[in-house]
Amino acid sequence: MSNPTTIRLYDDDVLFLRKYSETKKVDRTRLIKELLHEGVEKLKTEAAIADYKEGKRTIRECAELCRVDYRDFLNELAKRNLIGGNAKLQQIMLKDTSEQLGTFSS
Amino acid sequence: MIALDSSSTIYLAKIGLLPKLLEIGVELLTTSEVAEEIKKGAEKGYKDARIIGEFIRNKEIREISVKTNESIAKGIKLMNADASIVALALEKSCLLATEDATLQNTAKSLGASITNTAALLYHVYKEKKISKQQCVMLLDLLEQYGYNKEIALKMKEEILNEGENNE
Repeated sequence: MSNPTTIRLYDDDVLFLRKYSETKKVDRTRLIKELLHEGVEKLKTEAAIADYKEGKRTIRECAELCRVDYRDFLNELAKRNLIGGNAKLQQIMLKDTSEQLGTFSS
Repeated sequence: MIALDSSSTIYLAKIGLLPKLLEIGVELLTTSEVAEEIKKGAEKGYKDARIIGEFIRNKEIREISVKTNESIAKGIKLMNADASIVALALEKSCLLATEDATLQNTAKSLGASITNTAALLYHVYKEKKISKQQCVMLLDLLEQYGYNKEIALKMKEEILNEGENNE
């Protein structure tokens, strides 16, 4: 579904889009719609990542928000070196691990 | 015993740590919801997901159906797979392995013991299944795969500051 929306574009952008659509023989409206959609998707991902970093959403919740697979969102986190979780909890995780899995062999 | 979330299972598979954990006698569990997610990854062609699939098929990672996930999901508003893996860790009183910061915080607040790939790598090193050099190299590899640099650095400091163990 799409809704008609009026927006004012920068002159340079209009000129470029006009030339580009003529050269490539693509529909200008469709081109603008796709570019905007791509931008919205990127914005959605960045917003979800900000929420994740603030501890507001889990990876699965972010993936659902962005309408992508769990794996796709995990890849977005990997691109930003955000895998591994909360660095502040690392010492606790080390302690929990040794307590649960037993003492280290001598 | 460890309840494995998708994120940790994927990263443990990426650096080849799943067999090492089994070698030191750690029991690996996951939930049907998480297994389903892994299956989707395998269908999309991820090599690590195919490897994990083999572990599940061979029952080296046991797939468990948990009953309590609904109450946890309602209580703390978690999605199904998130709730199922936290419920499994609580039900079995075992470690929850996840790379998800939000899920780590939530699980901890519910009284679960938590871990991640870096902590498990350190454990395998301390159990002398890998050398200090291998451990540092695998931490470098984790960083290349998008791991948190602060965590990797902390772990390297931990390893390098403890003398000549496992040389």
